[in-house]
Amino acid sequence: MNQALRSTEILKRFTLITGKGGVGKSTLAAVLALVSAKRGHKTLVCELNTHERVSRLLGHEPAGSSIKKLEDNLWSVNINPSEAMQEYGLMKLKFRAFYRLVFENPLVGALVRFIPGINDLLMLGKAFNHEREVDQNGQPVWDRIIIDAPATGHSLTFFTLPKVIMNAVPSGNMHRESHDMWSLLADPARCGIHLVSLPEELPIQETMELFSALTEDIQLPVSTVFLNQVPAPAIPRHLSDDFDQWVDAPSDEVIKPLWDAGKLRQQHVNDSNRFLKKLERLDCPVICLPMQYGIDFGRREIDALAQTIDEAITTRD
Amino acid sequence: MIDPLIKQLESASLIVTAGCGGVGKTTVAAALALRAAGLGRRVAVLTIDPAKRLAQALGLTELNHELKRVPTDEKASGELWAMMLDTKAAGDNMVLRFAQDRKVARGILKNRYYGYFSTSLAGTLEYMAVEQVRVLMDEHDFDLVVLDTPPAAHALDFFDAPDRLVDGLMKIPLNAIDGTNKKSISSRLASQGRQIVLRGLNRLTGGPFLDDLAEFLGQFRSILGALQDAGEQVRALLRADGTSFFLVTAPSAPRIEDAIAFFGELERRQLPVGGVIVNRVHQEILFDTNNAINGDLLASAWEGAALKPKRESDYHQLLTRLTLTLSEHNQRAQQEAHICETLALRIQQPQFIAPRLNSGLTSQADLLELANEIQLYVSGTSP
Ligand SMILES: Nc1ncnc2c1ncn2[C@@H]1O[C@H](COP(=O)(O)OP(=O)(O)OP(=O)(O)O)[C@@H](O)[C@H]1O
Ligand SMILES: [Mg+2]
Repeated sequence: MNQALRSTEILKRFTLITGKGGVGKSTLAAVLALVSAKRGHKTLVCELNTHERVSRLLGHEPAGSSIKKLEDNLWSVNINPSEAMQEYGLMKLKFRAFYRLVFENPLVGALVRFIPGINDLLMLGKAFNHEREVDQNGQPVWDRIIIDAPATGHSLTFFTLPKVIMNAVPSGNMHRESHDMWSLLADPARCGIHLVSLPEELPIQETMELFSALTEDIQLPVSTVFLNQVPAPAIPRHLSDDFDQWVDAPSDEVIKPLWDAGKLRQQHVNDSNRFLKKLERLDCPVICLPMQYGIDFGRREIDALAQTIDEAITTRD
Repeated sequence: MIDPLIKQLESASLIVTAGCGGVGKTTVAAALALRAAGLGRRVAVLTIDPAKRLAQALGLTELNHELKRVPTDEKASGELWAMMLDTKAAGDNMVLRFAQDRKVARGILKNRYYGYFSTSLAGTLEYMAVEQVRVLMDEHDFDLVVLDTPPAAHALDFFDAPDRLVDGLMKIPLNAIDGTNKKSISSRLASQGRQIVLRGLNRLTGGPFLDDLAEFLGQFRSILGALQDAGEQVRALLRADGTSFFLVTAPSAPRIEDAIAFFGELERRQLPVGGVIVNRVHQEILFDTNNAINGDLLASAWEGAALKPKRESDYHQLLTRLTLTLSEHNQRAQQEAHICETLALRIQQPQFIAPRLNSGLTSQADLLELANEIQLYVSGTSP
């Protein structure tokens, strides 16, 4: 059973999801996007130049690089860095001809491409602009923006980029923009950074390292840690102690495979509990997402996980 | 472990593990290296990952940029050494070695963009770090080097990094950023009557940012030729006889698609592939579905194990849950077997299955067990 959390803790205006490769970042992005949309928030889920998993997990066609409506209150986009660059250029330079003149200057074009991490910065910047976007009445266009951030290894540089640029460019537009971006990332009232992990030795260790790197080294607040693929116990609780004591494999060839499967699962359950305790020592809430057994992984599984999140959200807010 | 892999471990002089992040590349690299050392070879395993966990599994307190002997079984005739490639040092060395004089070198190293550049140059520095592999092979006389490549969202970033850097630098008009030209781009653009471009530039970035950047790139460009040479050497090393790439992947649909795409890219670059290793595959628990199982059978096994007798309904519940657990497990195993089969049909390369071990892979014994359990996958059979 997960602890109760306010929806404002899980669904900040600007939500970034990160973790090691393959742990379930895109899955969580899809799940949170759905939870958010179902609660009536106008939600945009952003992937950063990937194979587009999120829209597919939700059972829709890939959105592509322009914003596409998936269902009620839910839109999705796969941000493309060169389009983001053009958009940024046009926004700053106002006119297409002017933009051309500047960007098609060979010196400028070549130099811009050499700015460290420029692609990641542009994509983050694009998502950031969606956060600021307002309609004719000055109302924010989006209530919630959910970003499927790159896998870690890569992701620390991703999160430090605005600060790097802020320090590298002492003044002017780019300095201002990256300063604003950094302020958003560092503001726990508006921005939530979620880490996804798995109940296995190495992912847990990496999550702990990532947590301290983010909170201590680069000083960004982590909102929630999600422990994904938490195994379901094989044995009813009132029998599990007895089953643990059944250490010698049964000789009966019919019962043996059942015993094997039960032992294997119980070991995963015990390991998972141990890892959960470890994560719970971190200074932030931990939410468990149950393992979805079955052949396919798609909308039905996303719906089930969304329900887990719904159950963890109190009605207090 | 079976012959085709043993053969490679016995004869290869460089094994490179490649693949997307989070599939266990580093662990597989360490396991293969340990196994090769067991075969009597002098082996070094090199990783770029800041891999505390690898060090621990190998039984070292820490792994750093120094080559360290890994304490292995005394009976083993081979040796295992381990080291983390130092990308920053590789970069500094490259600059020091290739700059035309110390003044230029110092200029580059001191430039504040050099530090910032470690992010965008990262791929290149890692690639250059591979040059250390050559040095190691020559100076330390290793029989086999096992090289773990850095995790990357786009795994080929690593192999393309030097070309990207060289191409990028070539595209910058030489006269614009020639390191000896004292005039800033701003003043040069202005003198060429390009005020409008300059104005746009300032609106985009503001401040002297691009001026500083251009100055840095101008200096950096002066070591371009040397950079190209070093890149060429590494390229040759990666394609030499005795070099073998192993593609590591996980048994899930998205990972397999990544692996297939990755494999195509390796082939296109004519990099020698030794095989694909599907890591952490669930093994099916064999079970004859024709067997009639009932609560009585479970009850007698339960009580035969000297456990406290339970009510009939408890046995019934237990049986239902265990049956479900077994079928969930086997469903997963079959699904993964299906994925391995798909992979075998789409990649004409030896495929190996590394089973999912229940240990947390925290000791040398675990790593060795992993290496020993790696099986050749034969298409048309379940692993
Ligand atoms: N709770 C779960 N139960 C069962 N399977 C899951 C669960 N969460 C994720 N998966 C499986 O794990 C796979 C990887 O998930 P996902 O694509 O979300 O990971 P990711 O972290 O976004 O990966 P990448 O680093 O490649 O972007 C999914 O295809 C799905 O099959
Ligand atoms: Mg993803």
